[in-house]
Amino acid sequence: MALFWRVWAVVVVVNVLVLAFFVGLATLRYASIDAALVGERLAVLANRTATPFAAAARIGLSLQAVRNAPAVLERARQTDEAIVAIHVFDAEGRVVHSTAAAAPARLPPSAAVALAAAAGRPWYRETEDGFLSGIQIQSASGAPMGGVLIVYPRRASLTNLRAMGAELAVAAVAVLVVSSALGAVLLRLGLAPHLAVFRAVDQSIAAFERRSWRQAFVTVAERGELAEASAPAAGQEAPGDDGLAALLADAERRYLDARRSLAAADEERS
Amino acid sequence: MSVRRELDSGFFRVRLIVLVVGGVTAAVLALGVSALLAFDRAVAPELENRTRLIGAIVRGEIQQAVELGIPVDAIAGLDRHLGETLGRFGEVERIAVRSMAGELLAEAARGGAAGESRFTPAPADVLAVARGSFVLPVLAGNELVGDIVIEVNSRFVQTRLRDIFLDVLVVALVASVIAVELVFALAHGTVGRPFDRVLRLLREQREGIFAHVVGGGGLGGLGRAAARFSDHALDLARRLATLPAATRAGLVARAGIRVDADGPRLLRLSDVADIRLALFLFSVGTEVATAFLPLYARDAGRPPWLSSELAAALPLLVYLLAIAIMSPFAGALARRFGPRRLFVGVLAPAAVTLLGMGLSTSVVGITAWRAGLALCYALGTIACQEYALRAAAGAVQAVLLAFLHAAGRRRSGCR
Repeated sequence: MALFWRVWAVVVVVNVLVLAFFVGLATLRYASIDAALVGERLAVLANRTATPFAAAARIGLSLQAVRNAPAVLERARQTDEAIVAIHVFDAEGRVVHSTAAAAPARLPPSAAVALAAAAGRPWYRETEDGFLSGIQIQSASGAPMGGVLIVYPRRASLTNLRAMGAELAVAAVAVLVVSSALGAVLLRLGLAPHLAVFRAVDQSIAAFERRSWRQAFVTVAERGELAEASAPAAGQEAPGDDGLAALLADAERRYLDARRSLAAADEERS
Repeated sequence: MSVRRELDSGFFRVRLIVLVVGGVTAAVLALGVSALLAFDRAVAPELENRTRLIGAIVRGEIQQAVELGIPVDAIAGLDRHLGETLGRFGEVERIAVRSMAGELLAEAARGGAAGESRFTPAPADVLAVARGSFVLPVLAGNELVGDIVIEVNSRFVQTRLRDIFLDVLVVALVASVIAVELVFALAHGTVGRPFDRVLRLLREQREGIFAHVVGGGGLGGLGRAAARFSDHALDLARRLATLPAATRAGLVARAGIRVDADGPRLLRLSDVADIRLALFLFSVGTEVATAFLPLYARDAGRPPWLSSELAAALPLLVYLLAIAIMSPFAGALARRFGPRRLFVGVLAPAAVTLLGMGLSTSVVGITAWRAGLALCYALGTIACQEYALRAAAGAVQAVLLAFLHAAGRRRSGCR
């Protein structure tokens, strides 16, 4: 049985490692899916919000000159109450319109880097300040005139991520408990014929020890009978023993013979 | 003996492999299913936000046209506009615009399925008709002129999770193989090897040889038997040591026993199974990077004259070359220093080469470190082969000795 429990423990430990790896990987994957979903949506919103500004830019107007800009931005912001701010910035990166009361004077550096890398396409990026998403606005000649930037909080995503991690961890513990219990039963049944053979060895040794200790305190007069007593009792070999009992008895008898010879030599010497 | 037969039997191995691999795979699949359900629930609000946005965009365009006096069934380029919107959202399967009579006015769908009517829900007041599909009404002033149907791909999350499933299944497979090897090593270490040692000790003592003791007795009865019969050898050695040399020699000859004057020595038995786990882990550790090494090497810095294809193949090419060069000498080195010492000796250099390979940013560096790893691999694996050959030769020798001994006993019995 000790072997069975050890085998089971190995299987459980491997399961724990694999499930922990799965939980980690799945949580990271969820974070990436969630970020992509939010980012893509914000990128589409930024594109849509930029449309009237792009129209103005195409006819040579500066973005600052768009009169209904606050209404356009506010309408876009109302599509999701969680949006922190929507900024419109000019070619130098100065914020010219914003939904935020305390708008920054310039575009954040991380947004400027992402904007340059996007090469005119809608983009999104996850930063320490939150999700940033935007699009560049170009003139009719293709020169950059500015762009639109949406700032979205990460708080909800982080909460969702933690909740997902916790949910997966709980599910993993449940799966581990069930699979460990089921695994114990299946291992016990599946390995039963093999474990029976290992048990037979234990039983042979235990039977030998029993016979041996029953004769441990025999008197000197009876010592001569020990050789016979150490022989295996007929019909007491465990099934699958394959002669182990006889081997144990032979080895023991050989030791006792040697001890008897030593005792005789001692008597001769004295 | 039956224990050895059991451990070496195909049935035992197959059952163990099926149980361990089945158990780990089932656990991963069960967690995978629950992860899918959790993901589905978690992304539902965001999918709804996206669908609302799509609806708002399309509805805005249509309402603008309708308010300008264009009938909803006469808006030009509506199909193209829907197609562009569909392209921006990967999870949307189909966008359709219908009149109040239920007539399909425009449609964009993935996979060329446009035109098929997949469902026929009645226009709803707000949002969502069925799982995976949404209906938004289109208003012109105070009049309901039609609706927009948006169908979301219900397997969107599953598609995005496919990669992670493949990763985890590979990890589960590797972990299962490691688990199987660990279990074999465990069975060998706690039952097989102790049993072999005890058996050898008993056979020796049956023949009157009390020259060995065994350590690491194993589980339960085997451990007790190992302790008992080792003690017999120790006891006889201790008692004989107190006798004068002449008396001792006479006594040993008369009793027909053999006891070393220096006391019993530890019995060491070599078995092929000893190196199984070590070799497996060594191979996994050194070869785990092979699958992605060509990609890694291709993207690393390289001299201008080296093409990207050759850069990808170079580490593997040099690896094979280094193994071929080292192989003829590895056997001699294993015999010179001993397989165990050689194997243990290459572990640290192998770890250093792996670290070097990971830190390299150029093809030349990666190839050089990979060549070093190949040398370590050749030395390590050939040391294991040498050990296995010795163990197998020892086993054959033991079988021959047992056979000759049994034949001798039978012959003397016949006489």
